[in-house]
Amino acid sequence: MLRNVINNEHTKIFKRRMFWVELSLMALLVIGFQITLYAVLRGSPMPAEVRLNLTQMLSWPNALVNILSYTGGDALGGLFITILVGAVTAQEYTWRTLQLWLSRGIPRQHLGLGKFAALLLPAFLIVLTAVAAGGVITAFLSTQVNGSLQFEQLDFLHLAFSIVRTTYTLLPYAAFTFLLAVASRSTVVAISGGLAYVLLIESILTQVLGLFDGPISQINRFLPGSMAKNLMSLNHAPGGVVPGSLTPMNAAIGIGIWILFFLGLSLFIFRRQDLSE
Amino acid sequence: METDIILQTHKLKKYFGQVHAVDGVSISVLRGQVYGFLGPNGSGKTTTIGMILGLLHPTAGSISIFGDPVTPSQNKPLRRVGALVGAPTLVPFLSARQNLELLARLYPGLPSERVNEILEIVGLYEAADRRAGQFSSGMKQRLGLGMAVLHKPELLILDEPTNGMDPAGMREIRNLITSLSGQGVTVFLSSHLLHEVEQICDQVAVLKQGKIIAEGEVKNLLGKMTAVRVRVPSTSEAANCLRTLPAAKDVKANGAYLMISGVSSQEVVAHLTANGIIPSEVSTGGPDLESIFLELTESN
Repeated sequence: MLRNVINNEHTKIFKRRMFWVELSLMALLVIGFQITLYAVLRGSPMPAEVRLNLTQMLSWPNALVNILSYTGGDALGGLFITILVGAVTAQEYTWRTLQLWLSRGIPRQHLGLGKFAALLLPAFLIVLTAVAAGGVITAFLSTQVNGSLQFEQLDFLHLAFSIVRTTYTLLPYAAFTFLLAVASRSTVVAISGGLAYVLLIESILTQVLGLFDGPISQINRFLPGSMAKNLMSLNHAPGGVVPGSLTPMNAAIGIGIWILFFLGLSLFIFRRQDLSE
Repeated sequence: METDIILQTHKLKKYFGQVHAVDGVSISVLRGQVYGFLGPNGSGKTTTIGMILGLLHPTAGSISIFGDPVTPSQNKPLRRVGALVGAPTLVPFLSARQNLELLARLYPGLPSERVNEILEIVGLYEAADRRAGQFSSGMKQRLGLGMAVLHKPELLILDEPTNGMDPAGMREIRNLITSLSGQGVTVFLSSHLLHEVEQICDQVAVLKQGKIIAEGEVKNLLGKMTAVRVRVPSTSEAANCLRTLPAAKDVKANGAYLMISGVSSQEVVAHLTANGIIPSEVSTGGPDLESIFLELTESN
């Protein structure tokens, strides 16, 4: 039954125009950003060190990994997944389609879990789209900058793991928005609350907590955004961890705990909800 | 455990704060019955149906379907139930066919041609590939009904199934319900169209302010309320006279006529003539379900 629920959720997501608009926007933004970098590199005089950095950002294989840094949970990926989760979850309350599935004997836990599980694939596709679009444009730009494509330097396995890690960093934001959608039953509340967290609350919280000493400042390390950065540090240089921060493994566990916390709370609320007219 | 009682509620209650939306509703629906569930707006019909479908948590009481308990966390018996409650629940950006296919996936044993069969039955075959969100309310209702019967349910729960439909559509729905009932499907029907209910239901329950105020077979309910109708020169004088009859339950004037229940026509004529009042017309007849419904729900 859970598999059928997930299949149905995938059908609903992939038949939504909004999902394809999001993927197209992600691709366009990534391409636009790379072209802007290239224009800056070509058009502006700059110190040799900055020029080298920019050249590396546009060249394979660094370019591909660099693209992942702005598709993570605390960046564009977080925005897109928040909008998608808010819409696909809360709209089912408005349309009363949740009532339809539940009145057909689907257990609430299966429906709730299935709806969230079905979001893993779109989250992965958001990241993959960014890498694919960015990969194509940076392949072209690499040849423009370096005269050739350094294909042999690309570690596909490392890239694949980096994509999975980046997708994983989207999930606490997806779970948080899922919780907002279930608790409020409102698309507006879910999306605006989720976006407010991604864009404002987390960064304000990070700055405010940074003003304190001792254990309070340590809370920073356990926010989803901080842990996402720690985990994604593996994308750039294996083993390159900022001193004083969580190890990538601990960050991955911490992110998992956030996901389970938000998802568990959502399912708890969903189980107790009255769903009438 | 299989039983002949398909749907049963026992002292079912649902309170929303101080509001007692459903207050001790006990009903039993037998296999093959078409059971009418009537009541004015706000009487608790939809709330009761919501609890039966595992959408609302009862405050107290129990529900069983096919002999197995049903709660929001224990809703497996609903696999054999089809329902259309209020406005149909559709995914608006999917076509009628896709909506049906989505639902069909939840019933793995369902033959693939069933979707087309349903589109034919509800008269939407031509519009099958149009987005459901663009449908008129009548078409949405047809699709909702199609979704309710897609998996050939043994129990069909319908709440105002003819909402938004034209007279021809209403007749089709009535025929469909009669045909399903003929195939052994048990139907639990909540409707404001009492003429329809009277025609197709075997049993009815009338709900008012969350409580069942009358329940029984339609023919018995109608029979109980048989009244004697007399035309008299002065209704007030005749009414006062008839009220002295101990068995006369209710004496009501309606223009030049009086309606008297609880007594036979012979008793009425004999009593009136004994008191010097000669009726010019006498007839007996049962009221329709609508009159009974209004009588029950408008009285205290």
